[in-house]
Amino acid sequence: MLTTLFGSAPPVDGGKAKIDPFGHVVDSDHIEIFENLVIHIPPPLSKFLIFLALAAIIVGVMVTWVANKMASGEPPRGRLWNFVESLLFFVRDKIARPGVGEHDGDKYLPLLATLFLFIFLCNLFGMFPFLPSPTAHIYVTGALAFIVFLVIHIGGVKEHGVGGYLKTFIPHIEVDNALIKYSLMGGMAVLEYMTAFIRAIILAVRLFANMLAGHTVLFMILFFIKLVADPAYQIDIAKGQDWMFWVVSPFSVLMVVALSLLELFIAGLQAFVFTFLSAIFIGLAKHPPH
Amino acid sequence: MRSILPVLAVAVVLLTAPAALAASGGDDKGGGLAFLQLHRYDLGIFTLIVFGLLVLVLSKTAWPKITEGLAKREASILGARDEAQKVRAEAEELRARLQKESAEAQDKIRALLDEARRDADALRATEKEAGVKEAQAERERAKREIEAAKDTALDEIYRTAVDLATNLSAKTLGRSMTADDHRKLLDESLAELKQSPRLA
Repeated sequence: MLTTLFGSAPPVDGGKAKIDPFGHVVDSDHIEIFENLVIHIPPPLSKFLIFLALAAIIVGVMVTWVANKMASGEPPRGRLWNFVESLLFFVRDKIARPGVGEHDGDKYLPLLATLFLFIFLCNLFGMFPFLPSPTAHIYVTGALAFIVFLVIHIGGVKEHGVGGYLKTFIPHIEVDNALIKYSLMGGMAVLEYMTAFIRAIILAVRLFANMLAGHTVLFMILFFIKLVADPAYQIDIAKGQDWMFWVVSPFSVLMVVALSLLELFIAGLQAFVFTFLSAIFIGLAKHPPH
Repeated sequence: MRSILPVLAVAVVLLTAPAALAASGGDDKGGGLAFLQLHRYDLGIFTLIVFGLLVLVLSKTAWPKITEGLAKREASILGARDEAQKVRAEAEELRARLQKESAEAQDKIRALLDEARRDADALRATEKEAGVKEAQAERERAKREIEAAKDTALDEIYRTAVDLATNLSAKTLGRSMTADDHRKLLDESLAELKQSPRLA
């Protein structure tokens, strides 16, 4: 009876159905709505390409719409206007100004606000059933981090000049012995130069890993149901034990609901972390601490 | 609406761009890390284009309006605040002036009351003194009238007594007295009488 719930047979590899926990998270040329309904995307388009473009369109239309409203100088009216404005002010007051600095923060607000909204929306797509989260791909987050990398160092060079900016990476160490002093300064300067690249890589990997892992965990917990009930995937201890379906299913569903709420929070949090760290790195490049 | 058009135009470009960026497919089996799809460079390039265009378009179309709107709103809020502060300062000034005027009026009222009280006291004292003086004068006048009445009565008594005495003496002596004798005798009697200690 339970077999009928899960439709057609899955791909089989050597007599046993193959489990691909990343199958629904990674990019593909189709959107799978259950196993019987698959929406194919014509090449060269793919899921992620479509949703990246969709995120850009939504952010673009939303910000342009609110910009037209705000141009009048009138106070915000209506839920959507208030919501979008509150997001923009959140980026300005909690990310741009604290991260980059009161003076330069507003100059970088267009980039940071667009970055935040774009990442947030890409993350949120993954929270809708059957939809992908483009930020679960390392090249997507890598491209965003690359843009931030350029902005950080172009900003630093503009502020200090090429030579001056390169000098900001060299720490000041007060040691009597000149050999030790310059050895330490040289070694730490190398680390600092590496940090300039590592920071961007960290930005990319953190966001990508969080989104990929989050959705994979959600999939696997929900997949427990198939592991106990679908003959194609069934684990050995569940064979002939139909009752396990009724125990595992509520557990899986409840866990997925709880983790989805957490994932929803993480979607916002990761967008915030990416943008806030970008703002801090820009601020550090413009105003180095030493 | 006009400013949304560039965004929509960019959207169309974005949706058709992958054709130009078409890279490899998604069926590559790259071993344990195949799920990373490291061969999908097109996603990175597409993201750069999409996000770059988005930032560019919004920087040109939306953010100047947002900045302008915020500046207007800030000016409006600051204007309203300045106006409110000005009105408040005026109200405080007015209140201070009213308080001062009220205090002055109170002082004036107090001074008027004091003056009225002083005038009343002075009037009362004057009236009292006048009353005393008048009573004193009345008493003096009454005393004088009594003295005069007494003198007149005594004079009348003396005259009558002198006349009687004269008549008696004349009858006794057998001769009549002339008018001059009579007057002389009367004056002498009156003088003696007035010198008498009993009648003084």
